[in-house]
Amino acid sequence: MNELLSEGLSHTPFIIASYIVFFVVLLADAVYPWIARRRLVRDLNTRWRRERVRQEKT
Amino acid sequence: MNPILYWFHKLGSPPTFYAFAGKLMPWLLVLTLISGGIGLYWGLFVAPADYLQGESVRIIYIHVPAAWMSMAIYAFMAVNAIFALVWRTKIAEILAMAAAPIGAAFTFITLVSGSLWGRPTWGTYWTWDARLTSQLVLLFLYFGVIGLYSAIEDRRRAARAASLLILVGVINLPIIRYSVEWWSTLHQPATIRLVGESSMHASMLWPLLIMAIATKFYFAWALLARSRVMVLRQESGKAWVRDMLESKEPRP
Repeated sequence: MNELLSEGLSHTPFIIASYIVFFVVLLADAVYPWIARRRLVRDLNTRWRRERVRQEKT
Repeated sequence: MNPILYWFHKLGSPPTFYAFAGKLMPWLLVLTLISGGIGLYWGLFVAPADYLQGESVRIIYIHVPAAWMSMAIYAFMAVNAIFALVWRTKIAEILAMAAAPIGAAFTFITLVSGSLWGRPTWGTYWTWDARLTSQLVLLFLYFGVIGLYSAIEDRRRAARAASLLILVGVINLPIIRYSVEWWSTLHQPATIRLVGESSMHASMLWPLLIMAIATKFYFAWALLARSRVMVLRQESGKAWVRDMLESKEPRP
């Protein structure tokens, strides 16, 4: 790590930027299914609740 | 019926697949975090700097595994596309479509990290070199598959149309692989070989291989996570989905 900060100082921003891109892209990719599932479950529950109410009325 | 064949046949059923994927996912996530943690620590803090590239060699611990994944995922999609087109397997359609955004993510990482490695090493962020250009074409192919799948309302017809595009795009895989041999490129030829000796020292090769394994575990985890959402969406009209979501248990 010391070598990274001393000798390779000019390369450090490129290394840091690469790892940031790597983590940000994969994190976004990992979070997406979790958000999509939550949204889908909420929408389905709303739809089924509406259906139940409609059935109870008729 | 052969028990293994029977198991695969059973896995083709959406409820079985959904439950199986749910059980497998936590293990895959743990394996991703352990192997990724070891690989990153080794690559960033233990592995030596390269005598020519200096410290910028540390970018390869994410660049090379991401590049391998970008091609491997496309090949995986092509295999599933064949199953989707020939046998019309619903899970194969879902797996092929769920893999596309993950493949696009890895291809994007490959291009950006390669560009950031190229600046201190080659003196430029980008050149219309055969390897770089064919990798960019791969990213566009991924975008094409995602776009085509989103453009058609009927999910099953959309998956079959996108599967056809996947199979057409397979031609790009050997072009990427052999571009450094077929054309005179700025990108160096392969330093790691499956057959024969690799020209990379073991102190650098091991963290690279561990990162390659970590990205494979990540892909399996992300693929199952996306596939489960797609299964849920496509099967939302079925009784098993309603029973599962309305019951106290969130997962079967």
